[in-house]
Amino acid sequence: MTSEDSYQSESEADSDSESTPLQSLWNSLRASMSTSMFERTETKLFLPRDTFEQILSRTEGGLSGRRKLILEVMGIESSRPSEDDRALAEYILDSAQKVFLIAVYIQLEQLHAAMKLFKVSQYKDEKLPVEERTARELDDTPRRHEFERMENRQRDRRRKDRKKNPKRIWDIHTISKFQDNQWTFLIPIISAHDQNCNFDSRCPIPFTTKNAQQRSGAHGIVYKYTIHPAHYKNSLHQVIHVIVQD
Amino acid sequence: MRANGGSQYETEPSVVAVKAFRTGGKNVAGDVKREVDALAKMNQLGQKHIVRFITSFQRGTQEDLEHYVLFEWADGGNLSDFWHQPQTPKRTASLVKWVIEQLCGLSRALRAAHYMPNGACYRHGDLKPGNILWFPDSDGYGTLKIGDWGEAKIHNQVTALRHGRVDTTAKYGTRRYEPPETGLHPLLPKGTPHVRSRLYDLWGMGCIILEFIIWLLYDHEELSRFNNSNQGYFGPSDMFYEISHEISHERVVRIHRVVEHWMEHMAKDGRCHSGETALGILLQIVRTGLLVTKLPEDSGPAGSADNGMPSFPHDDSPLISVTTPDSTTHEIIHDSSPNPRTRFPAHKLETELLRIVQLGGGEHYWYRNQGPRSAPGDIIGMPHLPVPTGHRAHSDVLTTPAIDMVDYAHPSLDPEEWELELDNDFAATLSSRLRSIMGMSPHETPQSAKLCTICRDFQGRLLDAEFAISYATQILRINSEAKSCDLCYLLWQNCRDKLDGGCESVHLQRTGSAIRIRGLKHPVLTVLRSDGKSPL
Repeated sequence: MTSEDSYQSESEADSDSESTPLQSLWNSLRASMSTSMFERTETKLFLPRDTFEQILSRTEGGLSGRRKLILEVMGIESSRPSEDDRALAEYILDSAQKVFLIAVYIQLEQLHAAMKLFKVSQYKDEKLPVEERTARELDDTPRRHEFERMENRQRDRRRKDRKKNPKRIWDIHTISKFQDNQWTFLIPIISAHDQNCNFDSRCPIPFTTKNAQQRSGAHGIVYKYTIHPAHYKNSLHQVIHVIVQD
Repeated sequence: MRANGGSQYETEPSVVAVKAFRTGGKNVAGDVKREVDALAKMNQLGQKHIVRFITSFQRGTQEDLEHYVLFEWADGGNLSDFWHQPQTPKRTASLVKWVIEQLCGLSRALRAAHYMPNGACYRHGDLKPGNILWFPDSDGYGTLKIGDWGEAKIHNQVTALRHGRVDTTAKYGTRRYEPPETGLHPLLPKGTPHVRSRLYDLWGMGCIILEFIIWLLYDHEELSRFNNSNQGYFGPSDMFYEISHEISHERVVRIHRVVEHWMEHMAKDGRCHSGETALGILLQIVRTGLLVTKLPEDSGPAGSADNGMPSFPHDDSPLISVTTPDSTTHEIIHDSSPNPRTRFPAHKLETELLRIVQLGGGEHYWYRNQGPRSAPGDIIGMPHLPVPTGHRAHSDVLTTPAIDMVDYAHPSLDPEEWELELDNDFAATLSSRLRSIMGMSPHETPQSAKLCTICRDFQGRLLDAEFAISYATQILRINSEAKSCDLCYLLWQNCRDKLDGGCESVHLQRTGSAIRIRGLKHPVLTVLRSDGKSPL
């Protein structure tokens, strides 16, 4: 399923007209999910990497329209956003799209506060995947999870806020959800230029069809797969040309 | 699946072949690396007739890494699939021309790999119809490409894993196309390095081209008959050559008599006249330059000097000329003639195939439509087969101890001490092999067996882990001899040597997977299962 096909069905569009921007984005993400057909990650969902770009491309008004969408998803309705919120939206668009989408997808309650926390902590997409901890480890106070440490530092700095809003963003439940769902958004690109990449076993491989045909060889079995086009870079012919020229 | 307009990613076809390496073998990571390195080198050659390697990846932990290699997907399958396609192409001049052009392309690819620009040499080591992949196109017959590069480097590993989890299908397939120098290796003194020459690949090409000619002249059924006609005869060889005892202390290495018989027959076919038709010249190339047991003494530089090919003396030492200090009274005799022909190197094959194309005249040159001529008859059972070339000369450099090429005899162990091991994979492989011989597809259910009343009872109880059943010996024998019951036949073949002379009945018991004659330790049959993937 491509995002273009399924971003908004008619009925979803109707319901979206009454839903919040956050719900609408969540619906879009959900509808855009593909299923990995790779033998070892079969049935795992993944979000094709171009999905959010397509959603953003439908907004009017260029960068300001994109910023507006991000802010509305975080519940900031103001037509004249503050400097801080403008900067936050730009930070998300520039370097934390995946972090933002994961937070949206897991329906993190304090989305705006969480993204502010990420921004202050300079936590960007490039830091993903977040280190995984078991529930038992997450209970281990001396070894706080990275997100908890981020939040603690912030709360120490802004004691007033802590009194105003005693509810924590990151606890064992929200961290677990983030950990568990992050792989849906961290799908590798299969590229002729990057040989022998090492993919995490939790990461769905973006093969969208698996043919029943298979061939047995001396050292293994050969399967026929289709790679999701958003996750396939194959300009080998150009590489060959360069090598021959050399 | 389609690409979305305006996106940054590419929209090239994204259907790929993903080869999943089996885990658990020794040094899999090393094998994968060698193969990937080789594949990358093959890509650099930019040859149209080499399957394009896309990328590789691994996943999992260091202790349990899974390895995957991606290639372009061959929609048509392999050359065997081409030969067995339901709508067999009509034999025409354009088909023959296409075949020759494809063989030209394959030999060019082989030459490029054998003589790489940087001076390196890469041998395929496992050329066979299953490794020639077929990429059909909409306006012709398509393109044939050499796939599965890198096997040579890890070929020995396959053997080592024979009893492990590795599928042995390929091994069986591979052995058929092995050249005689491989068969000779066990005859050499212990410790002799197993050198695999570039000429190894040329033998494989000879086998492939010969099969192509048979398919062109006749059809896939005759090709299957050819492929099964020398199995189990003239010693333990289903290869295109044989090594046999001529007199007590000699071994003769020569083209298998069945293969020679087919080639002789085809050479007399009007469509295959040497020097007059493309197929005739092609067959002549196979006979004089590819299926040739003798290797050039110095096939590296000498054979290539005239063609400006680089010199690679390091790996073409013909196995047959290895001198051993361990002289005994037994000798290998190498099939040869007064003017012994030696096997072509790849560039010579390419030149010869190009010559066929360049000679190309009218339709008559490419294909003479003179009605089907019958394929050779079976020669199995003929009391005195001619030795094809009749010229034998003693190799003056190689002497070996008199050991059998392949010794399938049980070692001198007390049978009572043998441990039995279940091997469903082996059974599946053997079943697959037998299906192939019978021309059955992998998932086709075999024709129902003819069963007598007792055997139908046997069949009904087969799912019980334990049961006993008795046969009257005479009935078992009669049903077997009359072939009126397939299971009686199977049982009789396996039981008759184990029965006492006067025994009137045979009592069989199933315990677990074994079916034994009551009172005997070793089973006469073993029940194996197919995991529901395909019927055994």
